[in-house]
Amino acid sequence: MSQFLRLITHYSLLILIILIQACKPKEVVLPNETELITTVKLSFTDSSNVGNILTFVFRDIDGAGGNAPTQFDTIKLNSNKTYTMKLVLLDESKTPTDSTSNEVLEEGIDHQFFFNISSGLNITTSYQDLDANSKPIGIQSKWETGAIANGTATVVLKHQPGIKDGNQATGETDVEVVFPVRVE
Amino acid sequence: MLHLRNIFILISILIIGINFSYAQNCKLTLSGTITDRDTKEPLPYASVALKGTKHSAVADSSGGFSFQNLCPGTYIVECTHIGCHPIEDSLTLIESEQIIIHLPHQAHVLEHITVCEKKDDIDKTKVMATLQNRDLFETRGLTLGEALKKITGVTTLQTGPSISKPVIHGMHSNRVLMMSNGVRLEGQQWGSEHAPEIDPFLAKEISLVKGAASVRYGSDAIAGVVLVNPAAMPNNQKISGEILLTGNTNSQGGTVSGILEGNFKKVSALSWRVQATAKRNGNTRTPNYWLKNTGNTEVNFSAALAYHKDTWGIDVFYSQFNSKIGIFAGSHIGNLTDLENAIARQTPNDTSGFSYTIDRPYQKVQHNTAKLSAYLLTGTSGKLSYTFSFQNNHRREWDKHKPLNDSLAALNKPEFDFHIFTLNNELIWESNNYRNFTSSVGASWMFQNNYTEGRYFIPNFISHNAGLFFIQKYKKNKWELEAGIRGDYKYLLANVKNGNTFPSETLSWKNMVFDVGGSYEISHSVTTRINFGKAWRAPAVNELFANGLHHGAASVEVGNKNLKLESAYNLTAEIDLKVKELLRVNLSAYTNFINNYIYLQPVLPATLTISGAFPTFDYRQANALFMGIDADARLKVLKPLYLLGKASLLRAENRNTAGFFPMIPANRYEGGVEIKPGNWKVLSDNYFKITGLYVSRQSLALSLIDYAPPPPAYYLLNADLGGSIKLKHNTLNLGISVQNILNTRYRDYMDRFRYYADAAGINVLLRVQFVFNN
Repeated sequence: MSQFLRLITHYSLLILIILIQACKPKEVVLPNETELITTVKLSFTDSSNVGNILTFVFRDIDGAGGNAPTQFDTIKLNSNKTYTMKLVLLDESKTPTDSTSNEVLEEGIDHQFFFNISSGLNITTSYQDLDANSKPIGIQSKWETGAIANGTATVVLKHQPGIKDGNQATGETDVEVVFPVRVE
Repeated sequence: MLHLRNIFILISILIIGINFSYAQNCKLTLSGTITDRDTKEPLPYASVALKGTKHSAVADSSGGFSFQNLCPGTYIVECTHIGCHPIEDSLTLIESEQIIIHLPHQAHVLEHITVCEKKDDIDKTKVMATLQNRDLFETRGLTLGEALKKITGVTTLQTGPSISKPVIHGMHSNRVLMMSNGVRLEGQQWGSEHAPEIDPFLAKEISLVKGAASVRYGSDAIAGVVLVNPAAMPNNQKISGEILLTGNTNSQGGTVSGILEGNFKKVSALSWRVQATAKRNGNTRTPNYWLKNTGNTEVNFSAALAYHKDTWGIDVFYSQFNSKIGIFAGSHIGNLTDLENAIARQTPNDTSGFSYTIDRPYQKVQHNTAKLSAYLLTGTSGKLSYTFSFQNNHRREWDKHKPLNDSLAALNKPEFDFHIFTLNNELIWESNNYRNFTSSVGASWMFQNNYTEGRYFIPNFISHNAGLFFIQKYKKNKWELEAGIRGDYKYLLANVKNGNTFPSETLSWKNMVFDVGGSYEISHSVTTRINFGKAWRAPAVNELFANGLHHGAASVEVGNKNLKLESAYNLTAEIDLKVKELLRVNLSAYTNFINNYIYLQPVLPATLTISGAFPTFDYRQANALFMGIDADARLKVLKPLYLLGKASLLRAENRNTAGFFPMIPANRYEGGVEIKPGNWKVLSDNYFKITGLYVSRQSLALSLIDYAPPPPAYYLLNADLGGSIKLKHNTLNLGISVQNILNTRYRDYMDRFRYYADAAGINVLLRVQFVFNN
């Protein structure tokens, strides 16, 4: 029986050591953040007045859930103009800010932006860039405004790895922001 | 820590204080009944003997026998009966025991494995079901969740073909406790796509306690407990074991599993067992298309050592579980619009041919378990046992979309990375039978540490869980009664995300639960059982603090730190009718009143994110009433022909809103025919079974908010065929199962992939088991 008691004693000591270790409060470590798109920035250059650049932003610094977006602009454009629109996606939760749109451009064959203009709003859009397979991407596009009207423009980025087909319903949504629009 | 050391000294004194002083206690009794293994009918006048001793007896007219004045030790029980193969099995006696000996009576009996089965006292008054022998063999090659579906009242919560969790009486995840080889499984069980990390091939039997079982097993056992038990450690000088191979046509994969065990020649008290399983499957095929990226692999192994002396013993066990599971590519979606598009499609837009390749999205899980247990006979009064276990669960999940940044993508880091570490201690003292009373008293303590990386979903936390329980049993003649009480305390410290900081939140709960039950044998063929108990669980960490995006479900889940503990009052009644081999009926009915039942409630407005709107769900509480019936029947029509029938009905009501809850399984009915033609050439114990399964539409969910209405009812046809070849010391078991024979297209309400794709089509499963030196 003494053999058994010895075992018990040794074992209890072992448990005690584990206990002491386990009871120490753990230090809080910031979880390793994964990639995030926090910001969609649209820059419109008026073709008749190149110095006039209008910029509109959607910004949600803490990503999905949590706090509400901190900036959500209304797109205000002049009527009967032609604009060149450049799109920038940023991760502003990191320092330095990461420009995600460059990576979308690199992976152009797997991505496409779509612009859905609400009916009644007099805007027509067209792509001004192409990927390696000569399919549009949409980082740069042309927006032509007509008469004065209000409505919405939805900016959608689709991830379509190996299945890019120009169809907005295909694939997985990376970005979808519904901007209010005023053509004045 | 000083006071903790004092507690240990105190415990040590207690252990030593209990009566050690005896030499050999030769007053043990071994009694039991001999039954026909097939019909479970008692076999009168069989002879039983303890080999190598003078103890031998002839069973009475009801199959009963008894040996008195036995010393503790290992005995070989030999049993013979006219028309039976004589059987032998070893049994280590450390206390007076009751056993049931199943004798293979007629020639058509298939099972060869178990001969002696211990009556587990704890569960006699509870409603239980067990898968073993042929029933268990028929589930080989299936996941643990799918295997449990064989038990009436159990369904599964699925995430496609490869991930399934058991649902008992409509409840799952945190409300179902899993005990694997005596260790309470602690993984990230809160997730509906987090399958149990248990290798079912380790099990010799899988049992299920239906209903509340918090007193014995601790908090969380509101729906029931799944017990995955390996065989008792061997007592045989020869090395014995088994090899099991399974293969399936649908996902063109299979498993290889093996067990080896024996005793050390020089130290006969020392026995060992090693076990390993490897599994690989490719994409699953639905009747019309392949599900892209649904392959999976699994590699598991375990080792056990036992040192059992007459009055004490020590067991050591270690196991590792590894799985890599591909998630159907079409199920990972960006936002609500994508989900609506996916539902509108007849066929997923991203299908493929057959492949074993596992690509994003996928999950990888590793689960390590180490266990040390010891027992000590405390004189003639009882037995003290202690179990210590350590578990480390590491779960990683990769989203479909790899990072756009090339250098980040090259690291291939998982988007979710969860580590949970659990220490569990349990000390129990069980008394021997004293004037028909037995008692057990126990204490348990569990410590957990959770650490997460990647996208935030649940916080890092530590928790402590301590419990004390007392169970009293009374057994006389046809009565068996049991009552138990337990108190628990739980403490949780979590670092909850708030912007970019992680302040600590502290919570604690305490609760008392009880349990009373009894069984009464009305007559030789009718037994009734009734159990009333209270069970509880503290809100899980995801219910309290989750806050984030779930791509698989296209939803944002928001926890609520003000949730109260959930407590359930469970009443279960069962009647068991056996009329010889002619008829067997088992009927059980249950009600579960759950106060503060936690569920997910959709809320408006949807969460606005950069990738669009996401439906948002809050964790809420309401009082719930679950009630249902499980029925099981078997009728002999002619000599080799049997009719089988099963039904499980369930209704879950929200008593606050007079409405219903989402994700409650629909009613199921099963009927079939089984033919046992006896022996054919070298093949013995042959059987053929064909069953039809009808699952009705979950019409109670029609009024609930959901992305898509519950799918229509469906009907499936399944078949099983099997037999065995018996050699002198070895046995070869063979089996074929065909699932979904008609290749029916269907979707199940409890499958989270029902929004995106059909369920699996026809599948032929083959299994071969070679058992040697048994």
